[in-house]
Amino acid sequence: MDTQKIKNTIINFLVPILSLVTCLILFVTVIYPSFTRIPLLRQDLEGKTKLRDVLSDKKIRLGRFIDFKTVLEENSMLVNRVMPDEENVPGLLDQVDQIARESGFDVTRLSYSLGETGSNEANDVTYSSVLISLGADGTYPQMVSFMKAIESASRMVNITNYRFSTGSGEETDVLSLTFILSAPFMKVQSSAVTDEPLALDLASPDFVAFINKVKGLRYFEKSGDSARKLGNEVSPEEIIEALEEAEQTSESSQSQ
Amino acid sequence: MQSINLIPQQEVLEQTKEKAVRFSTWFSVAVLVILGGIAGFYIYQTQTIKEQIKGLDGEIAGFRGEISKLAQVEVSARNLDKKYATLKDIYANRSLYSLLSTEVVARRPEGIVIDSITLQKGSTVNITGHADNYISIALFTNNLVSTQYDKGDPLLKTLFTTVTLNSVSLEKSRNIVRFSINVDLSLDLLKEKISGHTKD
Repeated sequence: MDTQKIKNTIINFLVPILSLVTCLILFVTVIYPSFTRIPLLRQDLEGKTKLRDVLSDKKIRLGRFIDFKTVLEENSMLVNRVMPDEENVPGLLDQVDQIARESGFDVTRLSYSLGETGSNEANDVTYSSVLISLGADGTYPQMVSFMKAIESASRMVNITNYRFSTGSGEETDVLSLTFILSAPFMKVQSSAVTDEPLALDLASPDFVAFINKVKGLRYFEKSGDSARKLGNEVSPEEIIEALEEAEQTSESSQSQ
Repeated sequence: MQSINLIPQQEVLEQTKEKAVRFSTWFSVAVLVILGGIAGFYIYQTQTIKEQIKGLDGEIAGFRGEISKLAQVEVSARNLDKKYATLKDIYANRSLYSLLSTEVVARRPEGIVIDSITLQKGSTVNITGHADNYISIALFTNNLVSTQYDKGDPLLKTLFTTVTLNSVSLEKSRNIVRFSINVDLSLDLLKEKISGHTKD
Protein backbone atom coordinates (compact mmCIF):
# COMPACT_ATOMS: atom_id res chain seq x y z
CA MET A 1 0.00 0.00 0.00
CA ASP A 2 2.80 2.40 1.07
CA THR A 3 4.99 1.39 -1.87
CA GLN A 4 2.16 2.14 -4.22
CA LYS A 5 1.82 5.56 -2.60
CA ILE A 6 5.53 6.29 -3.10
CA LYS A 7 5.38 5.10 -6.71
CA ASN A 8 2.42 7.38 -7.33
CA THR A 9 4.22 10.35 -5.78
CA ILE A 10 7.31 9.69 -7.90
CA ILE A 11 5.22 9.40 -11.03
CA ASN A 12 3.39 12.63 -10.16
CA PHE A 13 6.69 14.52 -9.50
CA LEU A 14 8.72 12.82 -12.25
CA VAL A 15 9.34 15.99 -14.27
CA PRO A 16 10.52 18.12 -11.31
CA ILE A 17 12.73 15.29 -10.07
CA LEU A 18 14.33 14.79 -13.49
CA SER A 19 14.77 18.53 -13.91
CA LEU A 20 16.48 18.93 -10.56
CA VAL A 21 18.78 15.94 -11.20
CA THR A 22 19.71 17.41 -14.58
CA CYS A 23 20.35 20.76 -12.88
CA LEU A 24 22.63 19.07 -10.38
CA ILE A 25 24.54 17.23 -13.10
CA LEU A 26 24.87 20.48 -15.09
CA PHE A 27 26.19 22.32 -12.06
CA VAL A 28 28.70 19.63 -11.09
CA THR A 29 30.00 18.81 -14.55
CA VAL A 30 29.77 22.13 -16.43
CA ILE A 31 29.00 25.24 -14.42
CA TYR A 32 31.31 24.85 -11.42
CA PRO A 33 34.38 23.57 -13.37
CA SER A 34 33.92 26.34 -15.97
CA PHE A 35 33.47 28.93 -13.25
CA THR A 36 36.85 27.98 -11.75
CA ARG A 37 38.66 27.34 -15.05
CA ILE A 38 37.67 30.45 -17.01
CA PRO A 39 39.77 32.90 -14.90
CA LEU A 40 42.80 30.64 -15.40
CA LEU A 41 42.16 30.44 -19.12
CA ARG A 42 41.76 34.24 -19.27
CA GLN A 43 45.08 34.61 -17.43
CA ASP A 44 46.73 32.25 -19.87
CA LEU A 45 45.20 34.16 -22.78
CA GLU A 46 46.44 37.46 -21.37
CA GLY A 47 49.96 36.06 -20.88
CA LYS A 48 50.06 34.66 -24.39
CA THR A 49 48.69 37.89 -25.88
CA LYS A 50 51.48 39.81 -24.14
CA LEU A 51 54.09 37.31 -25.33
CA ARG A 52 52.71 37.54 -28.88
CA ASP A 53 52.94 41.34 -28.73
CA VAL A 54 56.49 41.16 -27.34
CA LEU A 55 57.59 38.77 -30.06
CA SER A 56 55.84 40.75 -32.76
CA ASP A 57 57.52 43.96 -31.59
CA LYS A 58 60.83 42.16 -31.31
CA LYS A 59 60.53 40.79 -34.83
CA ILE A 60 59.89 44.29 -36.19
CA ARG A 61 62.84 45.69 -34.22
CA LEU A 62 65.15 42.88 -35.35
CA GLY A 63 64.05 43.53 -38.92
CA ARG A 64 65.10 47.15 -38.47
CA PHE A 65 68.43 46.05 -36.96
CA ILE A 66 69.07 43.94 -40.05
CA ASP A 67 68.43 47.01 -42.19
CA PHE A 68 70.85 49.02 -40.05
CA LYS A 69 73.29 46.24 -39.27
CA THR A 70 76.36 48.41 -39.75
CA VAL A 71 74.95 51.06 -37.40
CA LEU A 72 74.24 48.35 -34.81
CA GLU A 73 77.77 46.96 -35.13
CA GLU A 74 79.33 50.40 -34.94
CA ASN A 75 77.28 51.34 -31.87
CA SER A 76 78.11 48.01 -30.22
CA MET A 77 81.79 48.64 -30.83
CA LEU A 78 81.57 52.14 -29.34
CA VAL A 79 79.68 50.93 -26.27
CA ASN A 80 82.13 48.04 -25.85
CA ARG A 81 84.92 50.57 -25.60
CA VAL A 82 83.12 52.23 -22.71
CA MET A 83 82.12 49.00 -21.00
CA PRO A 84 84.01 45.99 -22.33
CA ASP A 85 82.96 42.36 -21.99
CA GLU A 86 86.11 41.43 -20.08
CA GLU A 87 88.20 43.12 -17.40
CA ASN A 88 90.96 43.99 -19.91
CA VAL A 89 93.16 45.15 -17.03
CA PRO A 90 96.27 45.88 -19.13
CA GLY A 91 94.34 48.22 -21.43
CA LEU A 92 92.65 49.89 -18.49
CA LEU A 93 95.85 50.48 -16.54
CA ASP A 94 97.48 51.72 -19.71
CA GLN A 95 94.68 54.25 -20.18
CA VAL A 96 94.90 55.47 -16.56
CA ASP A 97 98.68 55.65 -16.76
CA GLN A 98 98.56 57.61 -20.05
CA ILE A 99 96.05 60.08 -18.61
CA ALA A 100 98.08 60.46 -15.42
CA ARG A 101 101.29 61.16 -17.33
CA GLU A 102 99.59 63.48 -19.81
CA SER A 103 98.19 65.43 -16.87
CA GLY A 104 101.73 65.79 -15.56
CA PHE A 105 101.52 63.35 -12.64
CA ASP A 106 104.49 61.51 -11.35
CA VAL A 107 102.89 58.11 -10.82
CA THR A 108 104.12 56.44 -7.65
CA ARG A 109 101.69 53.56 -7.38
CA LEU A 110 99.25 51.82 -9.68
CA SER A 111 97.55 48.64 -8.57
CA TYR A 112 94.25 46.94 -9.20
CA SER A 113 91.85 44.37 -7.83
CA LEU A 114 88.78 42.62 -9.18
CA GLY A 115 85.46 41.70 -7.76
CA GLU A 116 83.24 44.63 -6.99
CA THR A 117 79.81 44.01 -8.43
CA GLY A 118 77.14 46.52 -9.17
CA SER A 119 73.65 46.13 -10.50
CA ASN A 120 71.06 47.98 -12.42
CA GLU A 121 67.90 46.88 -10.64
CA ALA A 122 65.53 48.45 -13.13
CA ASN A 123 66.84 46.14 -15.85
CA ASP A 124 67.89 43.23 -13.65
CA VAL A 125 71.42 43.46 -14.96
CA THR A 126 74.62 42.99 -12.99
CA TYR A 127 78.11 44.09 -13.85
CA SER A 128 81.54 43.80 -12.29
CA SER A 129 84.26 46.37 -11.76
CA VAL A 130 88.01 46.62 -11.67
CA LEU A 131 89.18 48.71 -8.73
CA ILE A 132 92.33 50.74 -9.27
CA SER A 133 94.44 52.46 -6.69
CA LEU A 134 96.56 55.26 -8.12
CA GLY A 135 99.16 57.12 -6.12
CA ALA A 136 100.83 60.11 -7.72
CA ASP A 137 102.53 63.42 -7.10
CA GLY A 138 101.17 66.44 -8.92
CA THR A 139 99.82 69.95 -8.59
CA TYR A 140 96.21 70.98 -8.03
CA PRO A 141 95.62 72.06 -11.66
CA GLN A 142 97.17 68.77 -12.77
CA MET A 143 94.76 66.93 -10.47
CA VAL A 144 91.75 68.74 -11.97
CA SER A 145 93.06 68.06 -15.47
CA PHE A 146 93.47 64.35 -14.61
CA MET A 147 89.93 64.18 -13.22
CA LYS A 148 88.47 65.81 -16.33
CA ALA A 149 90.42 63.46 -18.59
CA ILE A 150 89.34 60.41 -16.59
CA GLU A 151 85.71 61.52 -16.74
CA SER A 152 85.85 61.84 -20.50
CA ALA A 153 87.93 58.77 -21.32
CA SER A 154 86.49 56.18 -23.68
CA ARG A 155 86.72 53.33 -21.19
CA MET A 156 84.49 54.34 -18.34
CA VAL A 157 86.41 55.00 -15.15
CA ASN A 158 84.64 56.43 -12.12
CA ILE A 159 86.40 58.29 -9.35
CA THR A 160 85.19 56.37 -6.31
CA ASN A 161 87.27 58.33 -3.84
CA TYR A 162 90.21 60.69 -3.89
CA ARG A 163 92.29 62.61 -1.47
CA PHE A 164 95.41 64.65 -1.53
CA SER A 165 97.72 66.29 0.90
CA THR A 166 100.51 68.79 0.53
CA GLY A 167 103.94 67.26 0.29
CA SER A 168 106.31 67.67 3.19
CA GLY A 169 109.22 68.74 0.94
CA GLU A 170 110.19 72.19 -0.23
CA GLU A 171 107.81 72.16 -3.19
CA THR A 172 104.58 73.06 -1.45
CA ASP A 173 102.68 73.12 -4.76
CA VAL A 174 103.23 69.41 -5.21
CA LEU A 175 100.47 67.30 -3.72
CA SER A 176 100.56 63.68 -2.76
CA LEU A 177 97.47 62.28 -4.46
CA THR A 178 95.56 59.06 -4.01
CA PHE A 179 92.73 58.04 -6.28
CA ILE A 180 90.50 55.02 -5.98
CA LEU A 181 88.99 54.41 -9.39
CA SER A 182 86.54 51.82 -10.58
CA ALA A 183 85.99 50.66 -14.12
CA PRO A 184 82.89 48.59 -14.87
CA PHE A 185 82.76 45.70 -17.30
CA MET A 186 79.94 43.35 -18.19
CA LYS A 187 80.08 39.77 -19.28
CA VAL A 188 77.59 39.32 -22.09
CA GLN A 189 75.41 36.42 -23.12
CA SER A 190 76.28 34.69 -26.34
CA SER A 191 73.07 32.68 -26.71
CA ALA A 192 69.77 34.00 -27.97
CA VAL A 193 66.85 34.50 -25.60
CA THR A 194 63.87 34.53 -27.91
CA ASP A 195 61.06 35.44 -25.50
CA GLU A 196 62.81 38.34 -23.80
CA PRO A 197 61.64 41.77 -24.96
CA LEU A 198 64.03 44.11 -26.69
CA ALA A 199 63.53 47.76 -25.86
CA LEU A 200 66.47 49.12 -27.82
CA ASP A 201 65.58 51.71 -30.42
CA LEU A 202 68.57 52.94 -32.39
CA ALA A 203 66.68 56.04 -33.51
CA SER A 204 65.34 57.15 -30.10
CA PRO A 205 66.56 60.62 -29.05
CA ASP A 206 67.90 59.21 -25.75
CA PHE A 207 69.96 56.56 -27.49
CA VAL A 208 71.23 58.99 -30.14
CA ALA A 209 72.26 61.45 -27.38
CA PHE A 210 74.00 58.61 -25.54
CA ILE A 211 75.89 57.47 -28.65
CA ASN A 212 76.89 61.05 -29.43
CA LYS A 213 78.26 61.35 -25.93
CA VAL A 214 80.19 58.09 -26.33
CA LYS A 215 81.56 59.30 -29.66
CA GLY A 216 82.81 62.43 -27.91
CA LEU A 217 84.84 60.44 -25.38
CA ARG A 218 88.56 60.26 -25.88
CA TYR A 219 89.93 56.93 -26.98
CA PHE A 220 93.42 56.01 -25.83
CA GLU A 221 95.43 53.85 -28.18
CA LYS A 222 97.63 51.27 -26.47
CA SER A 223 100.92 52.94 -25.71
CA GLY A 224 102.87 49.82 -26.71
CA ASP A 225 105.01 49.76 -23.60
CA SER A 226 102.20 48.92 -21.25
CA ALA A 227 104.25 46.16 -19.64
CA ARG A 228 106.43 48.82 -18.06
CA LYS A 229 103.46 50.62 -16.66
CA LEU A 230 101.29 47.75 -15.58
CA GLY A 231 100.44 47.65 -11.94
CA ASN A 232 100.29 44.54 -9.86
CA GLU A 233 97.12 42.86 -8.72
CA VAL A 234 96.23 43.38 -5.09
CA SER A 235 93.22 42.46 -2.99
CA PRO A 236 90.41 45.01 -2.52
CA GLU A 237 91.43 45.23 1.14
CA GLU A 238 94.89 46.38 0.11
CA ILE A 239 93.34 49.18 -1.94
CA ILE A 240 91.34 50.31 1.08
CA GLU A 241 94.53 50.08 3.15
CA ALA A 242 96.29 52.29 0.61
CA LEU A 243 93.56 54.85 1.00
CA GLU A 244 93.79 54.73 4.79
CA GLU A 245 97.57 55.00 4.58
CA ALA A 246 97.20 58.09 2.42
CA GLU A 247 94.78 59.50 4.96
CA GLN A 248 97.28 58.95 7.77
CA THR A 249 100.03 60.56 5.70
CA SER A 250 97.72 63.48 5.08
CA GLU A 251 96.97 63.83 8.79
CA SER A 252 100.62 63.55 9.80
CA SER A 253 101.70 66.11 7.20
CA GLN A 254 99.09 68.47 8.56
CA SER A 255 100.23 68.03 12.13
CA GLN A 256 103.81 68.85 11.17
CA MET B 1 -26.08 33.80 4.37
CA GLN B 2 -23.43 31.33 5.22
CA SER B 3 -21.85 29.43 2.25
CA ILE B 4 -21.44 25.74 2.53
CA ASN B 5 -18.51 23.91 0.89
CA LEU B 6 -19.93 20.89 -0.67
CA ILE B 7 -16.66 19.65 -2.25
CA PRO B 8 -15.69 16.39 -0.70
CA GLN B 9 -12.52 16.32 1.40
CA GLN B 10 -10.85 13.82 -0.98
CA GLU B 11 -11.43 16.16 -3.94
CA VAL B 12 -9.84 19.07 -2.03
CA LEU B 13 -6.74 16.95 -1.36
CA GLU B 14 -6.60 15.91 -5.00
CA GLN B 15 -6.78 19.55 -6.14
CA THR B 16 -4.01 20.62 -3.71
CA LYS B 17 -1.79 17.76 -4.93
CA GLU B 18 -2.40 18.75 -8.53
CA LYS B 19 -1.45 22.38 -7.76
CA ALA B 20 1.76 21.24 -6.03
CA VAL B 21 2.72 19.03 -8.98
CA ARG B 22 2.02 21.84 -11.47
CA PHE B 23 3.99 24.41 -9.47
CA SER B 24 6.98 22.11 -8.86
CA THR B 25 7.04 21.16 -12.52
CA TRP B 26 7.05 24.75 -13.74
CA PHE B 27 9.56 25.78 -11.11
CA SER B 28 12.01 22.94 -11.80
CA VAL B 29 11.73 23.44 -15.55
CA ALA B 30 12.42 27.16 -15.08
CA VAL B 31 15.49 26.38 -12.95
CA LEU B 32 16.64 23.84 -15.54
CA VAL B 33 16.28 26.39 -18.33
CA ILE B 34 18.20 29.02 -16.39
CA LEU B 35 21.02 26.63 -15.43
CA GLY B 36 21.06 25.28 -18.97
CA GLY B 37 21.54 28.83 -20.22
CA ILE B 38 24.35 29.48 -17.76
CA ALA B 39 26.02 26.19 -18.67
CA GLY B 40 25.74 27.05 -22.37
CA PHE B 41 27.27 30.46 -21.77
CA TYR B 42 30.19 28.94 -19.87
CA ILE B 43 30.76 26.27 -22.52
CA TYR B 44 30.76 28.97 -25.21
CA GLN B 45 33.18 31.14 -23.21
CA THR B 46 35.57 28.26 -22.55
CA GLN B 47 35.56 27.20 -26.16
CA THR B 48 36.11 30.76 -27.39
CA ILE B 49 39.06 31.33 -25.04
CA LYS B 50 40.56 27.96 -25.95
CA GLU B 51 40.32 28.80 -29.63
CA GLN B 52 41.94 32.19 -29.03
CA ILE B 53 44.77 30.52 -27.08
CA LYS B 54 45.26 27.99 -29.86
CA GLY B 55 45.46 30.82 -32.40
CA LEU B 56 47.98 32.69 -30.24
CA ASP B 57 50.09 29.55 -29.81
CA GLY B 58 50.33 29.33 -33.58
CA GLU B 59 51.31 32.99 -33.90
CA ILE B 60 53.89 32.67 -31.09
CA ALA B 61 55.45 29.60 -32.69
CA GLY B 62 55.69 31.50 -35.99
CA PHE B 63 57.34 34.53 -34.39
CA ARG B 64 59.75 32.33 -32.41
CA GLY B 65 60.79 30.59 -35.60
CA GLU B 66 61.41 33.90 -37.38
CA ILE B 67 63.28 35.40 -34.40
CA SER B 68 65.49 32.34 -33.93
CA LYS B 69 66.65 32.79 -37.52
CA LEU B 70 67.95 36.22 -36.46
CA ALA B 71 69.71 34.89 -33.33
CA GLN B 72 73.03 36.58 -34.09
CA VAL B 73 71.46 40.01 -34.47
CA GLU B 74 69.29 39.36 -31.40
CA VAL B 75 72.32 38.58 -29.21
CA SER B 76 74.17 41.62 -30.45
CA ALA B 77 71.18 43.95 -29.98
CA ARG B 78 70.31 42.57 -26.53
CA ASN B 79 73.87 42.95 -25.27
CA LEU B 80 73.99 46.49 -26.61
CA ASP B 81 70.65 47.21 -24.93
CA LYS B 82 71.88 45.87 -21.56
CA LYS B 83 75.09 47.86 -21.69
CA TYR B 84 73.24 50.98 -22.81
CA ALA B 85 70.75 50.71 -19.93
CA THR B 86 73.53 50.07 -17.41
CA LEU B 87 75.78 52.84 -18.67
CA LYS B 88 72.89 55.30 -18.75
CA ASP B 89 72.23 54.46 -15.12
CA ILE B 90 75.91 54.81 -14.15
CA TYR B 91 76.26 58.11 -16.02
CA ALA B 92 73.12 59.42 -14.34
CA ASN B 93 74.43 58.55 -10.89
CA ARG B 94 78.14 59.27 -11.09
CA SER B 95 79.47 62.48 -9.63
CA LEU B 96 81.93 64.58 -11.59
CA TYR B 97 84.45 65.40 -8.90
CA SER B 98 86.45 67.57 -11.30
CA LEU B 99 83.59 70.07 -10.98
CA LEU B 100 83.89 69.94 -7.20
CA SER B 101 87.65 70.48 -7.25
CA THR B 102 87.31 73.38 -9.70
CA GLU B 103 84.52 74.98 -7.69
CA VAL B 104 86.45 74.75 -4.40
CA VAL B 105 89.36 76.61 -5.97
CA ALA B 106 87.05 79.15 -7.60
CA ARG B 107 85.58 80.04 -4.21
CA ARG B 108 88.92 80.17 -2.43
CA PRO B 109 89.96 83.70 -1.49
CA GLU B 110 93.54 85.02 -1.63
CA GLY B 111 95.65 83.76 1.23
CA ILE B 112 93.98 80.36 1.57
CA VAL B 113 96.02 77.27 0.77
CA ILE B 114 94.14 73.98 0.54
CA ASP B 115 96.18 71.12 1.99
CA SER B 116 93.76 68.28 1.53
CA ILE B 117 90.34 67.37 0.26
CA THR B 118 88.88 64.10 1.46
CA LEU B 119 85.60 62.65 0.33
CA GLN B 120 83.67 61.23 3.21
CA LYS B 121 80.71 58.89 3.35
CA GLY B 122 77.47 60.34 2.08
CA SER B 123 77.67 63.80 0.62
CA THR B 124 80.25 65.37 2.89
CA VAL B 125 83.74 66.46 2.03
CA ASN B 126 86.47 67.43 4.46
CA ILE B 127 88.75 70.29 3.47
CA THR B 128 91.84 71.19 5.41
CA GLY B 129 94.24 74.00 4.72
CA HIS B 130 95.97 77.02 6.09
CA ALA B 131 95.62 80.77 5.81
CA ASP B 132 97.48 83.93 6.70
CA ASN B 133 94.73 85.08 9.01
CA TYR B 134 91.35 84.20 10.48
CA ILE B 135 89.44 86.58 8.20
CA SER B 136 90.45 84.61 5.09
CA ILE B 137 89.05 81.44 6.62
CA ALA B 138 85.77 83.19 7.43
CA LEU B 139 85.65 84.58 3.90
CA PHE B 140 86.31 81.13 2.45
CA THR B 141 83.50 79.48 4.44
CA ASN B 142 81.15 82.33 3.49
CA ASN B 143 82.09 82.05 -0.19
CA LEU B 144 81.40 78.33 -0.18
CA VAL B 145 77.78 78.64 0.91
CA SER B 146 77.01 81.99 -0.72
CA THR B 147 74.53 81.73 -3.58
CA GLN B 148 75.43 85.28 -4.60
CA TYR B 149 79.08 84.36 -5.26
CA ASP B 150 79.63 85.03 -8.96
CA LYS B 151 83.16 83.82 -9.68
CA GLY B 152 82.24 80.14 -9.72
CA ASP B 153 80.22 78.02 -12.11
CA PRO B 154 76.70 79.53 -12.31
CA LEU B 155 75.23 76.01 -12.40
CA LEU B 156 76.94 75.15 -9.12
CA LYS B 157 75.78 78.13 -7.05
CA THR B 158 74.07 75.86 -4.52
CA LEU B 159 76.64 73.04 -4.60
CA PHE B 160 77.80 73.60 -1.03
CA THR B 161 74.86 73.48 1.34
CA THR B 162 76.41 73.77 4.80
CA VAL B 163 79.89 74.36 6.15
CA THR B 164 80.97 73.20 9.59
CA LEU B 165 84.20 74.55 11.00
CA ASN B 166 85.84 71.59 12.76
CA SER B 167 89.02 73.20 14.01
CA VAL B 168 91.12 76.32 13.70
CA SER B 169 94.60 76.41 15.22
CA LEU B 170 97.40 78.92 15.09
CA GLU B 171 100.83 77.64 14.08
CA LYS B 172 103.04 80.31 15.50
CA SER B 173 106.35 79.01 14.10
CA ARG B 174 105.14 79.60 10.53
CA ASN B 175 102.67 82.35 11.43
CA ILE B 176 99.77 80.56 9.76
CA VAL B 177 96.31 79.47 10.86
CA ARG B 178 95.36 75.86 10.11
CA PHE B 179 91.73 74.97 9.59
CA SER B 180 89.57 71.95 8.96
CA ILE B 181 86.03 72.22 7.63
CA ASN B 182 83.32 69.74 6.71
CA VAL B 183 81.21 70.74 3.76
CA ASP B 184 77.89 69.16 2.82
CA LEU B 185 77.30 68.93 -0.90
CA SER B 186 74.26 68.86 -3.08
CA LEU B 187 75.57 65.85 -5.03
CA ASP B 188 72.85 66.05 -7.65
CA LEU B 189 74.54 69.11 -9.10
CA LEU B 190 77.65 67.04 -9.80
CA LYS B 191 75.71 64.40 -11.67
CA GLU B 192 76.25 64.14 -15.35
CA LYS B 193 73.36 64.72 -17.68
CA ILE B 194 73.83 62.98 -21.01
CA SER B 195 72.01 65.64 -22.97
CA GLY B 196 73.06 69.14 -21.95
CA HIS B 197 75.18 68.02 -19.01
CA THR B 198 76.78 70.43 -16.63
CA LYS B 199 80.33 69.56 -17.52
CA ASP B 200 82.20 72.01 -19.71
